[in-house]
Amino acid sequence: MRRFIIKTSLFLLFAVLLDRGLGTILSYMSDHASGGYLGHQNHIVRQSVDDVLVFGSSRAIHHYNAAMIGDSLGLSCYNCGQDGEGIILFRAWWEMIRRRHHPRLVIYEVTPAYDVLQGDNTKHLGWLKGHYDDEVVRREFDEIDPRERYKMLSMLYRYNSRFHQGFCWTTCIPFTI
Amino acid sequence: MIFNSFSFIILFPFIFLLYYAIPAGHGRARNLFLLAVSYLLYMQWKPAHALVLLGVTAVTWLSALLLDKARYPKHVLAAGVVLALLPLFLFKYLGFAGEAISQALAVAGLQFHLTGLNWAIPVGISFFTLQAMGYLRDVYYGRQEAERDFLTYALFVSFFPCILAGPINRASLVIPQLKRLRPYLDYTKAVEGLRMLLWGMFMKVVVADRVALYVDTVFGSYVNYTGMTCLVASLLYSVQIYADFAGYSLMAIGVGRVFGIELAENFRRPYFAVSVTDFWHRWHISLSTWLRDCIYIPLGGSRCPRLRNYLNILVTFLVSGIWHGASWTFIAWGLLHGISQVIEKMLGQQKCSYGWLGRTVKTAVTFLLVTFAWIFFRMPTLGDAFNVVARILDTSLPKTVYSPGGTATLYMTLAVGLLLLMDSVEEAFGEMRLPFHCNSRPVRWASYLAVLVLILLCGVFGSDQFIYANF
Repeated sequence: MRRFIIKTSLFLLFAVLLDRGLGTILSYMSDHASGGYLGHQNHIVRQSVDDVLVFGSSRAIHHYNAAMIGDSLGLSCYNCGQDGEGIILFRAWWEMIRRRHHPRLVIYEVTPAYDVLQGDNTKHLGWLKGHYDDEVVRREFDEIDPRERYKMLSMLYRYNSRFHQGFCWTTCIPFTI
Repeated sequence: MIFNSFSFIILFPFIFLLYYAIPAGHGRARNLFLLAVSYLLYMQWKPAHALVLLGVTAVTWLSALLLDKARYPKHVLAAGVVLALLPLFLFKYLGFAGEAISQALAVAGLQFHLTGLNWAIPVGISFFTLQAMGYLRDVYYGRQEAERDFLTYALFVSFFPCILAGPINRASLVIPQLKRLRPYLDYTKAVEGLRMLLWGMFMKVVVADRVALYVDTVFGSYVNYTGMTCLVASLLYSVQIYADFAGYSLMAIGVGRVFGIELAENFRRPYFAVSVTDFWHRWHISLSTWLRDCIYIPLGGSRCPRLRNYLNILVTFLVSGIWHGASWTFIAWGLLHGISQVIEKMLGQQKCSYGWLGRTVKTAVTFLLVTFAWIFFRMPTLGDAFNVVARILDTSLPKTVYSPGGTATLYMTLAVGLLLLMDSVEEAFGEMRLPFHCNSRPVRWASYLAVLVLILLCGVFGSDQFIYANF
């Protein structure tokens, strides 16, 4: 039994070290991604100072032309829409944006399935996992699924299904929408 | 409890530590602990369902005891089987039977309505019922002594790793292990168990659930997709159901081994089979063994006139189809497997003696046949299944394949490719050539860590259900 416990503990220790090491690399890459969805997200929460922001699911990202809205209103506009996402993601983004900048107008395209009707809220936390260290995001996770805080102990899990974007966009093309 | 659920990952170490806190000499206390854990975990779904489990357990236990003393053991066996099957019939088949009767009567202008209980079906009922009935049959034929200790028998029926989706264990395999004193901790077995748990988890969350995202999208609205896309989805469904069910079985066997209990083997790389008959020697082995012993052989097996033998095969696979679900699609799926095996038997093509090229061709043909049958298994109605087949065969549709985007395709290819590679190596050289079994410790540990990293980075954690848990 002692041998089993020692070896299992040693394995877990290696696993934690690997998780921390690889997770830190992925965190760096994700924070510095200049394109793709990660770049889009980084721009929204860290850089955007636009007057008009468009939020919503695919109906927002594919049906609202930020350039046209900007031209018509004489204001700068950025489309923050994200396929398959709703109020859970956008509330957290909004809170993060609000800390450094107050847009003059927010357009929100409501999709009942993502914004109003009851459903699996946990699946909408995906894009926020990389920003879990942010207080706003952590609060959102606790509200929606308190068990997620234990899963977030794994740094690698935070980049689940999205880690390749960090690799691809750390040094690449500037992101525009 | 689902193995890839967060609750299981949290609870498992506690169950492990509490179990091993009981000294090895107190075998009965250890069994009692495992029984309590099994029932508590089972009651997580719906506490009342534990009564069904207990009922089936009590009925088969008592029937087996009475078989020894009864003047007409056949009558006791029949009564035991009917009573054990009753909950399964009421919950799973009553609705289907009622619907079939009402449709038949409607032709004659009569009205009849019978509501089923499918909405309340206890999880794992098909598995534990079959396991208990297999025990009863073994006792009847004198292959297993009737178990006098109810606690041991109840643990055999309800052992938590296999109650949800098997393997369907033989009493002769498990009961002796439960009765004798197990070593305090069998290190080799426990380590092997953890390896199986890790690889099973990979198969489930990295392969099956990833592929499911594509398959569910396409089959959910197949009319919007091309024939080529339906074909790709069908091929991927073969991968999905294998990774899902074999992954579950591997985890169940692994958990059993961690507690020092060996469970029945359930999968042996089924898609390398050279015939449909061979496929059933590799796919859901515990079920095919049960069907062979309890349906095929009692019907006469192969020791009878040829035509009778063909009928026996068809009946056995018809029962297999019905067991999987009360629906015409499952019946069609079972019959397709039965008919394929009858044709193979007629042509003498159950085995392969053509060298590597012939073997490859036969393996590919078998895979396509099995994939064709899976379409009936997967689709909700026969009409949908025929429509999917028609779309695949329709040459007028565009020859394009729906791609879910770079990301999804990348993860799916990586997952399926790795599974295929591992299975190919194991099929060609045996499991000892896999990195998990390498003699070099650094290689072995690196492979464990690599799989763990892949699970964390590429696993789909939103899907908590195993396909076979629905049966």
